[in-house]
Order: sequence, then C-alpha cells, then structure tokens
Amino acid sequence: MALIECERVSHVYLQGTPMETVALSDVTLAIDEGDVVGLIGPTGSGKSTLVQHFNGLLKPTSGSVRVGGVDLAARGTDLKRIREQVGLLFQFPEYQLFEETVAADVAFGPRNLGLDAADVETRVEDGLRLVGLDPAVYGKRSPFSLSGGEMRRVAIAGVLAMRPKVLVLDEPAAGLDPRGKEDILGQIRALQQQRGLTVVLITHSMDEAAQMARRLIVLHRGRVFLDGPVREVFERAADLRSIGLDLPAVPQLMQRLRLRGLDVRADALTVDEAREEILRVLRWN
Amino acid sequence: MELTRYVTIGQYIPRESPVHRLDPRTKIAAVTLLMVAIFVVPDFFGYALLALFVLGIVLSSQIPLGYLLRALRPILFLLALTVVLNMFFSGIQGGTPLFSIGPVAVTREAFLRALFIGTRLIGLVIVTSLLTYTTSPVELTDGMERLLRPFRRIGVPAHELAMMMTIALRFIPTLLQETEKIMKAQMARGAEFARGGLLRRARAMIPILVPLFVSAFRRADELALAMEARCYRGGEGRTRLKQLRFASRDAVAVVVTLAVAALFIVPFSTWVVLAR
Amino acid sequence: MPLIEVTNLKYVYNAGTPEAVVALDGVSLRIERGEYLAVVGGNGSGKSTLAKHLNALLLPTEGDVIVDGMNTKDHAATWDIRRRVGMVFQNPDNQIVATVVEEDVAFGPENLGVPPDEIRARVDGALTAVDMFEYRRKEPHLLSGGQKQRVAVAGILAMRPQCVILDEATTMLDPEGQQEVVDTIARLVADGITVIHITHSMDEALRCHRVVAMAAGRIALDGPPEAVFSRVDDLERLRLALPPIPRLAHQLRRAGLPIPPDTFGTDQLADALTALTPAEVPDGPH
Repeated sequence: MALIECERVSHVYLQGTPMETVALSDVTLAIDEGDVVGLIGPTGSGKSTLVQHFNGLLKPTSGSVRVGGVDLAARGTDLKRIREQVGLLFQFPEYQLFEETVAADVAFGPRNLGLDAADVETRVEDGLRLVGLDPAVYGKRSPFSLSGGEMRRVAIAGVLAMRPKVLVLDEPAAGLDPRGKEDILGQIRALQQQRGLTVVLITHSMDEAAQMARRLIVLHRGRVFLDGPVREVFERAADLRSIGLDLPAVPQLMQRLRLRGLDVRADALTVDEAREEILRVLRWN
Repeated sequence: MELTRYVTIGQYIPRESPVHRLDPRTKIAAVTLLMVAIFVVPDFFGYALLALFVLGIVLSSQIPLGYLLRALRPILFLLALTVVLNMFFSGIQGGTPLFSIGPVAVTREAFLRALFIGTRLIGLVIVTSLLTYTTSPVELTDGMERLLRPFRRIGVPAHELAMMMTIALRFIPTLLQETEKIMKAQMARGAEFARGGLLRRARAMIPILVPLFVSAFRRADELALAMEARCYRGGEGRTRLKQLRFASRDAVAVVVTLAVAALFIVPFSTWVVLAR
Repeated sequence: MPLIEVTNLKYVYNAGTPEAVVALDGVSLRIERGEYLAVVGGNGSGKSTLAKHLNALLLPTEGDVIVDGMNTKDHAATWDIRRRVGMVFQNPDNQIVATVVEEDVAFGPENLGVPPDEIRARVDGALTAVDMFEYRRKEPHLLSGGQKQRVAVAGILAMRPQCVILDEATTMLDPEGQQEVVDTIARLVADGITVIHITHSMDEALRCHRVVAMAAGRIALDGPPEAVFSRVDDLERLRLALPPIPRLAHQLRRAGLPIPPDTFGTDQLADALTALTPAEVPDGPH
C-alpha cells in the first residue's frame, strides 16, 4: 500500500467566479515508502497546490487523496493524525516561528498531537539534534536571535519532532547561499538515509533534483507530464525543453558530447561521474 | 498560489462616469455633507427625497446596484441588531402597542423609530460605499492630504497621514497572503483554529499573530530603508505624479450637494416659513 | 575620477558595546563609470554591508567612501549621492510603497521635486525600459517576484541614476524571475549605467565584467570572471561554489587536459573536449 495516493485529483480555485483557475487537472500518482521524489515544474505548474493535498490542507475539487489507505475527504478522518504522518514544510519556513524559546517552538507540533510532557521533551531534543542544533545550547534561546539559516533549521526540527513518515519540503534551499544550500540538502539526504524517511522535494532547480532525488515527477499546467526514475526522465530532454525546462548542466554536457561523436554514456549526473566518464572515453580513443 | 491573491486593494470599480471624474476632494466633502444630512433628516418623507438624490448619483456613477446592496452584507447583523434593540428598548413612553413577545411590548411608534434608525444606517453605508467604489485608493489619500493641508499650521500631519494610509492599503493584500501562509504552516503542525470556546480560539491565534507582527515590523524597517534610498525625507518639496484639478463640474457638484444638504440641515419649518 | 572610491573602509555594528561585530575590516575598492561588477560572498562576508555604504545608508566607522567626488560622511551631500546611486533590495515586497505600479515608480522623482509632466515622462520611460509598461496600472501584490523587482528597478531608473546597486535582488526569486532581472540588468549596462550586482549565485557573477569576492569583511579576490573562477580552491574556502561546468572544466584541467581557463559554458566545454587530439590526452593513472 502506498503512503500517499492521488487518484484523478483536480483542484479549481475560486470555482464559479470570474477568476476561476484550474490548478490541478486529473493527477494520478502514488508515493511509496522509501521514495525520494523530486517534484519539479515551471512556475504555476501546480506543485505547491499538489503537496497541500497530501496533508489535507486543500481538498480536491474532484478525485480522491488517500494517506496510508485513509481517504482524506471521508467524514470522520482525523486530519491531525494525517498531519502527523505527512510533515509539510513551506517555503521560507523560518517565518512561522513564534514561541519565546527554540525548544517551545519545536514542541508546538508534538504538543498539538496531545503527547505527554516527557514525550514532547524527547522529541524536541531529537528533532534539534537531527538538524545539527545542540538542544542544550539552542533550546533556551529566542528563535528571533538566530541567523536565517539557524531559524530555518529550527522550523525543520519542528516538523521532524512530529515523527512524520513522509517529509514534504517546498524548496528547502530557497534563498540560501551556496554553502547553506549544500548544508541543508546534505542534512535532508542524511535524514533520509538514517531514518528511512520518505521525502518529497519541490524544487525549481534541475541540478538540485538530480542531486537529491531517485524519482522525478514533472508537472506542467497542473498535469503530470513525466513520472519516473531520474535518469529515465533525463533521457526525455526534448520533451522537457518543450515545457520550458532543461536538463541540468552535466547531463546536458554529456548529451552534447554524444551529438558531437564522443561516445560517452549520457546518464552521468554529477561532476565526479562526468569527469570519470569523459576521461575514460578519451583515454580509450 | 493562494486564494488571497485575488484580494484587491480597496473596493474601487473603474468606470468613466461623471462621478468617477470628480475631484476626490469634492467627493469627500459631498459625502461628509450627505452624512450630516442623513443624521438630521426628520422623517421618512425627507429620507425619500434624499434617497432620490442618492439614487441619481448612483445611476450616474454607473456602479451596478448589486454592488451597493452587497456593501450592506457585512453590516446585516448590526442592522438587524440595531432595529430589534430599538424596537424593544426605544425609550418612547406610551404609544399604541403593535405586538408583544412575552412581557415586552412593541409599540407602533417604537417600531417606526427602529425602522427609521435602520434606514439611517443603510444610508450611511451606501453613501460611503459610493465614495470608495468611485474613487481609487490613490485619489482618496491624495484628496485627504489636500483637504487636511490647511490644518498643518495647527499641527495636523497631513502628508504623513496620507503616506501611512497609502502604505497600509498597499500592504493589506500582502499581509493577508502572509496570514494565509502562516495559518497553513501552523495547521501542518497540527494547529486547529476552529475548535473550542472563545478563550481557546483566542489563544490559538498566537501562532499566527506573533509571526505576522514580527514580519510586519521587519517589513516596516526594510521599507523605511528603501524609501530613504529613494530620497524620501517627508512631505517638504514633494511633487505628485497626478495633480488634483478642481474643475467646473466639481463646483457644480459641490453647490448641488450643498443645496440638498442645506434643505435638510436647516429645519423644515424654516423652509415653510420662508416659503410664505 | 572613478564613480566610487572606497578607502580603508571599516564598519562595526553596535560599536562600543559588548555585541560589537566587525562587518567590514579595511576594504578598498575603486569602481569606474560603466562597470558591470559582481560582488560575491557567503553570508556574513560583508557584501551587503559594503553595498549600503555606497549610497550613504550606512556611514563608515573608519575610512572613507567617495561617490562622484562627494564624501558620504558629508550630510549635505546625502541626497545627491542617493540620487546618483540607487539601490534595489532583496525582498521584492518590502520596497514597493504605492498601491499602483506607476505611482510607485513615481515615488523617487516625487521625492526629488521633479515637475509633474516630467515625472510622467520618466515613469513611462522607466517602465518601458524594464518591459513593464503594460502593468503600469496594476496593483503590486498581483505581480510575480521577478515583475516586482523589475518595478523596483524602474523606480530607480526614474531618478536618472548613474549607478544601480542590486543588493541580493535575485536571491528570493525563482529561476524565471532571476532571468528576468538579469536580462533587465544587461539592458542597463548596455545603456551605460554602472551596475553593482551583489549575489551569491556564481552563474550570475559569470555574466559580469568584474568579480569581487568577499569573505570575513575583506576583499579576497578581485578581477575578471575567468581570473577569479580559476581560483577554485580559494572559492571553496570562501563558502562559494563554482557552478558544475566550470568545476568540471577545472577538474579535467587538473587531470592534465588542456582546457582553456575561461571555459564556463556547456558548449564551450563540449567544443574544447571534442577538439582534443589524442596527443593531448594524458595516459596513465590520474
């Protein structure tokens, strides 16, 4: 059974008004346990709208969404339990911090779940350590005294403290400097590997998608355009270009080399892979 | 994509009507006069006359009647409450009873009085809505600033008030968008806003209000810096892109409104005496 | 005379208190008219602090900043300096003041007391220059990030500046918006306006004529992109990352392949690799 299932989901904003907009159209997909999914698409393709269906923040205009087999639209569905299983982090999540101390803010989620004080405290410490913040040092500080990058990590800890099965992140590296980007993406990768978390990552950057994801879902104008393993999606370069996306730099280079007669494998994703493959082929000739 | 993306600033409906083309100062002054008249009108007959005048303005403004009726929706509850309270607790002694609910009786006079007060409320809302429907936020703040300018000598900060109004109007949709985003982020962490009694709901607003306020202060700081970088130093020596021009149609509008208002503000009996 | 001359600039936040932080530690820099300069650096490198000194939003703790012959410490010159050097900020929302696009673009000229007819001409011209003329009556919150930043640029252009500073103006934008802003800047440069682009995107820095890399409040590297980007190890130390293609080119060069040092583009690298003769490929272990 998949963790998250969308069956012909459509979502129309402001239906019946002159400003009616179709954000999602007939989306069918399934997120399985252990998936590491990159959700990518041009601006306005519906990525943000789609993930808000995963934890019941939005309800489909038609179609159904099931989490752990439970239909989100069914009467009596406990959305809190759903939100415990599917942790969603919005863009620039540092803007949601509000408590007087870091520990209290991270505790917000667990407390909402009705856990007892001891449980909450364990989860807070756990969450902070997972993002690389020492609870003894940071716990008592005011979230507003931290740097932007630290605040973002506190926000992530706040969602991790709910022990979700699926972590959905909307552009977690947005607005960070290159080192900050590396840090956060590295942390997410480590989390995924250590804790076996299922991860859905919204990103604009094909490079990021190539680095992080095993599977890519490409959205275009509210529809699923491509859905498959990363390397397979990258083979459809012409299709991607037709909707305004391009391959990340390295696969692009490999394709161009092939076009010019150099028999390199086209599926190198990282700089290291490309270097090895290029040197290998050049030495053979 | 958020729902609040489609909020517009103010309620301005652009049209090319004579009312739209009036100088905002004229409209602000006219609305003020009409509001005074509404309060002073002595009876339903007066209201009927005034209503005819207002109807004339509405028709020439090309604002569909539906919009004006919709403007009443937010105050429907207040309207009903006012009418009901005045029916039962009018303070009018004696009078012919119409009906009663339990021990409390409603007299004919009280009933009419309640309707009268209700009509007054409707009149106020319609007249002020007309102003905001036919005048853009920019024109409104410009008009207010110009009207208040003579009072600067007695310490009224006309320019600063207009600037504050503009910035407030500009940021309302942005802050609404942010509120929606914060709400969703907290809901994703299991927060509930529609549960429980008044106290619990009030406490539930803290995770929304605190980030919103913090963010608003940060915005203010950044905006102030940006304004200074563009050489803003208060109202001295500032010119404006759009100049307000008082034209002949404005003079006509002012005179007509003044006449109509005077009809009511000066007691009816005086007119009767004068007519003789 | 250079447009901007910075001499031994030192800036300390909260000077004299226990929370004092040295943000700039002796920066000297000369910017000539017409330059298209990128200032790169990680968080805390001081690049934004430096930017704010160039239009007198901040005054030096020590050292001098001279803009078009005027010292920023001279209060009487502040407004002239700010008229010549405009700034676009990072958050697209928090620099738009008015309820309508054209009113916001008019804000600068209005502050300068420009006559109304001329304001109209400047506003229309500025909006056309950033390709936003058809949005002039729109409300700002309905625009995308890239569009808002273009409106902000128009607001500066309407003041007829000699220099436009973009203080991380692309950091919060999506790739589409970033492209819009970068294209707009290219037009400014073509018109002879000096542009200083503060960014941590090395892709954007690649398009500039000169790159200044900062770290810990000091200038670490200063030169044309090919010179700066060849110092790969230095860049890593400075919390900066080379984009994939330049990085790959560098690694291949280190493995012995004769790839030219200014190879930044995908096609360039493909060309260089396919042009190699067998003699140029080093054999043996690497």
